[in-house]
Amino acid sequence: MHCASCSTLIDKLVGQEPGVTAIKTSYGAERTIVDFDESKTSLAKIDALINKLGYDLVRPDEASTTIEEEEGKEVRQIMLARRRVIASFVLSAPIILYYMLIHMFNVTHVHEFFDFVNAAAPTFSGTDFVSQGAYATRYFFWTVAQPLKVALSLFMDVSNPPFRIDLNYIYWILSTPIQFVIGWTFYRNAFTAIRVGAANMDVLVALGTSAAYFYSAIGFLFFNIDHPFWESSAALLSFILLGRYFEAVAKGRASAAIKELLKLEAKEAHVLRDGREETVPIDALRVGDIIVVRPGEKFPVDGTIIEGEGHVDEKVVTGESYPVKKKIGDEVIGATINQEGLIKFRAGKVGKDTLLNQIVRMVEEAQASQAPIQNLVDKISEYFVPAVIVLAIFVFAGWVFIGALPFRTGLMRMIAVLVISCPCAMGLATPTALIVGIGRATKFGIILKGGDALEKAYRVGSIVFDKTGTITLGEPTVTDFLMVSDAMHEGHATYLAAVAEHGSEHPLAHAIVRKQKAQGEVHTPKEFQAVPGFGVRAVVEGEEVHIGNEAFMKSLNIDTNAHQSTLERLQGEAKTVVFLAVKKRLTALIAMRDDIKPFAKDAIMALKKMGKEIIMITGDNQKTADAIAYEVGIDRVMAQVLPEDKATAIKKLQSEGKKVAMVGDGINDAPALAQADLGIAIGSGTDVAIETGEVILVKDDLRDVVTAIQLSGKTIKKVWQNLFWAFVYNVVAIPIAGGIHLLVTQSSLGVPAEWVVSLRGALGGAGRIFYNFSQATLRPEIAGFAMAFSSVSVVLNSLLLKRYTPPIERTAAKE
Amino acid sequence: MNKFILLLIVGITVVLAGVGYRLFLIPESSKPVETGKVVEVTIIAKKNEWRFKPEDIVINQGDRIIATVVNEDDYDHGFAIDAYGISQRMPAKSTVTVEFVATRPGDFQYYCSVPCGEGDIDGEHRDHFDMIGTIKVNQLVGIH
Repeated sequence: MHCASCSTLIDKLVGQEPGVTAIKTSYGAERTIVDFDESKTSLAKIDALINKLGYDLVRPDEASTTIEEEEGKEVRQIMLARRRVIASFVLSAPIILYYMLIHMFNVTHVHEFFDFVNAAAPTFSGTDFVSQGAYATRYFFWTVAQPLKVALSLFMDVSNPPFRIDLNYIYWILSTPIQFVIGWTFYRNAFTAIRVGAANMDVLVALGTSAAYFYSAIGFLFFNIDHPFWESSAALLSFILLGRYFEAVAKGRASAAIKELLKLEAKEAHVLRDGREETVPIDALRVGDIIVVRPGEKFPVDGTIIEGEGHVDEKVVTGESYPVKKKIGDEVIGATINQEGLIKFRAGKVGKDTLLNQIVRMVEEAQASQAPIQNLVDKISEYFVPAVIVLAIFVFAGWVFIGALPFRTGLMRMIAVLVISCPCAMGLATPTALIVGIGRATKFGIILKGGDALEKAYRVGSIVFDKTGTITLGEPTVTDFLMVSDAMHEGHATYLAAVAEHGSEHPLAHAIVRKQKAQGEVHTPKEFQAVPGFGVRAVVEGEEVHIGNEAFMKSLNIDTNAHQSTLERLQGEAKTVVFLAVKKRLTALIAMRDDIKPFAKDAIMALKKMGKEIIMITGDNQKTADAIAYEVGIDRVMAQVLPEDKATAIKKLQSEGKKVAMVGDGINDAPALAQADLGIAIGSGTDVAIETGEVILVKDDLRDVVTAIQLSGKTIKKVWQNLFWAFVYNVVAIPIAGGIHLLVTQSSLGVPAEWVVSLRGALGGAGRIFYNFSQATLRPEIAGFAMAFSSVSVVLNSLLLKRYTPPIERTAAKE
Repeated sequence: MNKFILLLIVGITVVLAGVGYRLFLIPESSKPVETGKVVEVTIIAKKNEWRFKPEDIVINQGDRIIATVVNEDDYDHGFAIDAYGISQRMPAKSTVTVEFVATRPGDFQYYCSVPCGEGDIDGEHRDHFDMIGTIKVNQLVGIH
C-alpha cells in the first residue's frame, strides 16, 4: 500500500460489495479484516476487486510466517523503496541543488552550458549570511565546472563554443524519468482511484506534479517562460518517495513484536517416519506425525504426549513461571521447552493452527485496527481532494471570467493551487507518528495493540494495579518460622510441614516446600487431604500434621488466641501467616511474604508525579493489602475483592467519571482488563492477557506502565503537531497560490489597498517585503518548493520520537 | 455517483457559468477593453544595476503593448507581470518581446522573476528584489 488513502479506497470499494458486512483495512500493517456472507459473495470476488485496485490479497493461510520469509519480504520492500529513492535523488539532485542554492542565496542564474563552464571564479562580495552563501554556491559551481572545462577543451574551443546548449534541456532529460518511470506508481494509483470514484491522495500528487512538469516542459519548449520549475516536480516526487521509504522502515519496527513472537518457535523437529528419526523443518510437519523432543529442546507444534514424561517450561506461552509436569495423554504447546526426559508426542495442530500462531494473528489483527484520529484524517483527505479540484476550477474561472484577466493568468494560478495542495504532508502526519511511536514502544518491550490503545493511554486518569503478580512477584517466600512448642526442633518441624504441603498446588505450599528443599529432602506424605480455603491435613512418618489458617485451627479446636498479637504484627508487615499443628498441638507460626517487585515503587511514584490516581485492588485481607500499599506509596486500596468482582470495582470507578486503566497479570484479571478503558497486561503474554489487554508489557517491569503512558502522550502530541503544520500550511498557502488574498490586499485590480500602503510605511524595511508579498501571488515554483518542504518536515518531526528514552530508564542507566 | 463525474459536472458548470457571465452579465466597468491602439515600449535591464529602465510606464486602458525587453547582463533575468500572466525568460545578453493588451486599469508591477544576485551601484546596494517597475494603466474615459 502506498499511502493512507489507499486503505480508505479498499474499504470503500469492497464495502460496497453486497454480502460484505464489515471491512477494516490498515495502511500501517498492510492488513485488511473482512466480514462477509459467503452465500452472497466469495473471497475470490473480493480478491478480484482488490486486484482491480492494484493490490494483491494475501490470505493468512497462504501467508508465509516463518521468520525468514517475513523478514525477507520486508527487506525486499524496503530495498525496493530505497532503490527508488536513490534513483530519484540521483536524477533530481543536480536540479534540486542548483535551484535551491540559487533561490536561497539569490545567485545569478546562468542557463547556458558554456556560460556555466566559463564562469569566472567568484569574488567575495560581503560578510553577511546570504553573501557568504552565494560565494560558497558560486565557488561550488565553479569547482564543478573546471573538470568539464578541461575535458571539453580537448574537443573544442571552450571560450568560443561552436554551439550553445540551454541547461534546461539537461533538467528536462533528468526530470522526465522521475515523472514517468519512478513516479509511475502515482499515476497508476491515481487512475485506479478515479475509476472507483475515490479521492485518493495520489490523485493530487499526480495532478500537482504533472501540472508542474507540463507547465515547465511546454513553457520552456514553446513559450520561453522565465521559470521552468523542474525542481518542483522532481523534488516533490523524490521527497514523497523518501517519506514512504522512511515509513517502510518505521513499519518494519512496528512488526518487530510479531517477529519476536515468531522467534520463539522451534525451527526443526525430529519426526519418526517408518521407524526412523528424521530432522525436518517445522513447515513439513503434518497432523498425526510422531515427534521426538529431547531435554532442552522446544516442542515444535501443539500435540499430545504418547510416550515419556517430564517437566515442561510453558512460560513463553502461558506466562506460568513454574515448569509443569506432563505425562502420557497431556497436551503440550508448541514453543514451550522440554526440561527433562525424552518425550514423544503426536502432532495435533500444525502451521497456522498452533497456539503461538493464533497469538501472532491476534497481534496482527490488533495492529490492523486504526486509531480514531487516523479515520478523521482519512475522512478529511477524502473531502479535501475534491474541494481542491473545485477550488482550482473556481480560481481559474474567477480570474479569467470575472476578473477578466488573460487566460494564462488564470492557468498559472490554477497550477499553483494544484501544486501546493498535494495533501501528502497531511497523509503522512498520523501514520508516521503512530508507527514510529508504536515501534519505539516495542523497543522497550511494550506491545501496543493498535493506534487505538496509543490514543487512549495518555488520557487515563486512574490506574488500578492488581496486587498479586503485578505489584508483588506472585511467588511468596517463607520469612518467619516461629516455634511455639518445645516438642521438637525447628528443622524437624520444617521437614514435617514441607512433606505435608508437598502434595498441594497452593503457592503458599510451594513456598514452604522450597524452604525445605534448600536444606534437604522432601518426601511424599502417606496420606494427604487438602481442605480448600483452609489448609491441608497429612500423615508424615506416622504423625498427623495440619497446616492452615486461623479458621482451620478453630475447626480443629486448637486455640490460637495466645498468639494473636504476633499474628497481627506479622500481618502488619504484609505477611500471610499459617499455623502448623502436629498431633493437633500448635507447633509453629509460618509467615510468608510475597515480595514487592523491583522498581514497583519507582513506577508508582513516577505515575503519581504525572498526576494519576493510583489504586490497588486485591483479594487479600485489608491489613496485608494496606501494608503493601503503604510500602509502595499507594493511597487507595480496594481489598478483599473477589476476582469476579474486580470488573465491578472498575465499573464503579468509571462511574465516578474517571478514565481507568487496569494493570494486571492476565488470568484472573481478564474481566477487569476488558472493563477498564485501557487494559495493561503484565507478563510475557498469557494467552488471556494478549486477548484482553490492549497494552502488553513483555518485560514484567512496572516502569513500562510509565513509559507506555508517556510515549502515548508524546506520540499523540506529535500527531497533532504534524496535522497542525500540514493543515496550516495548506490553509495559508492555497489562497495565496490562487491569488485570493488579492481580494483583501488590493482595493481594485493592481491597486494596493490603503491598509497595505499604510502598513508598509509603518513597518520600515520589513514593510517593503510585506508589501511585495501582499501584491504578488505564490508563484508555482515557490509553491512546489514549499510543498516538498512540508512533507519532509512532517516526516522528520515524527522521526524525532525515536529519540524518546523513558526518563525512568535514563535515571536507572545513570545509577 | 463517481466523485469525479460529479467534479467534472461542477467544473463544466462553473466554466460555462463563467463564460456566460463574461459574455452577458459583466458590468461595463469590468469589461476588458481593446482599442486597437499600439504602444511600443523598450525596457532595459541595465547592466549590473539591478534596475529596469524605465521604472514607470503610463499607458491607457485598451492599449496593445509591445514591449522590447533587453537584458544587458551576462546572466539571466526574467520579466513578469502577475496580473497579465506574463513570465518570460531573458537569457544573458538577449532581447525578448512581450506583447499584451492592457484590458484592465490599475497599477501593475513588472519585476525580475529569476534570482540574479546583488551589487553596489553608485554607493547604493541593490539586488534582485529591487528590479521592480510599475505599469500604470489609466482608465479609459467614457467607460463607466
